[in-house]
Amino acid sequence: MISSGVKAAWYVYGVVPADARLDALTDADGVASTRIQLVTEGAVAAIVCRVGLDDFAEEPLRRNLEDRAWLEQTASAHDRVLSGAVGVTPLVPLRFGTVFRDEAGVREMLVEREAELRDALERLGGHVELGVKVFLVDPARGEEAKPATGRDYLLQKQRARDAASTVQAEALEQVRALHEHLATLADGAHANPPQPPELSGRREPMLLNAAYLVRSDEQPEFIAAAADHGDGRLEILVTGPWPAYNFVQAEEAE
Amino acid sequence: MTNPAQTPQRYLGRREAAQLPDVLERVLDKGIVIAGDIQVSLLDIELLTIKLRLLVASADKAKEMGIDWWQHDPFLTGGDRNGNELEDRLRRLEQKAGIEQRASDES
Repeated sequence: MISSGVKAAWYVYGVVPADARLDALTDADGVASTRIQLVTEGAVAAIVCRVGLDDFAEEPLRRNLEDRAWLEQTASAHDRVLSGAVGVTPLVPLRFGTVFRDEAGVREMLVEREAELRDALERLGGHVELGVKVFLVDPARGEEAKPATGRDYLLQKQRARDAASTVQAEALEQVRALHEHLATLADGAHANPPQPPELSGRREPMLLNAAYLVRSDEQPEFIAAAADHGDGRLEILVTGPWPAYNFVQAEEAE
Repeated sequence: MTNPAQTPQRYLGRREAAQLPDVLERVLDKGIVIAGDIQVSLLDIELLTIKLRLLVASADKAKEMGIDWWQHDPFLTGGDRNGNELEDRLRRLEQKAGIEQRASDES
């Protein structure tokens, strides 16, 4: 809890229509141990909670962001709260770390940006974001016999290298086709840099790390279409539904 | 992992499949940016430091592997809104913060 001696500020997770029913959300565990609330202004409402300035004022926030455990925990909480609204109401997710000193600041922001936020809510309504990651699984693994001699070993290595570069080139073409296909099924598509193994937690190279804005009622078809592109070489991983994080950049709204 | 080559794995549409990197990537780097009262410019620099570690590292790695087609394909990236925006922003912030440009940028 925020102790009584600590000054509080307002943390904003995202924006929903003013008439959104978010009863379930108010019990969610947010970035602080305070209740999730809505601050309504005109046609839009901000999903907020009170946070202590001991954690969220400029200086402590900077320190906290260098603390990986704090960051992971708090960023996950930001996502958890927003995810509770996915499929329940149109939702504009904010980037992590938007803090106002008081409720008036939140209201002022809503008034200033109401038209823009309303447009975004209208555009995103009835949609969710689905993530699609594609991994190149090694089709040659375990196929060759154990090398009998050192020369065999070197030849095998050479063959494996040649095969790998051919496979990779073919796989990239396959992935490009997959992305183009999925983009036609979605109302928005965004290819992000693939994650390296240290991030993905996988040895296999990631060839695609994309997000798609999909109509909520077309999720099963989209997921099936994505899965259809999988084969012995490409492993398809679909994540979500997410808040439409990838589809609310300023450029997107214009 | 059993039989990875023959059986494509499909983890479909389940929220539990969401891993921390996917969450961080979205929450720290995506989402609408609204200037709050707590200084965002400083906040930005800190978040970009993390991005450097997490995301740009992955872009560099991808380039090494030749997997950078999404940066050059206007159809896939919907014009120029994806490509170099992050790099440009980083460069500006790095200059502002007096951080020397990374050697890998010069190629």
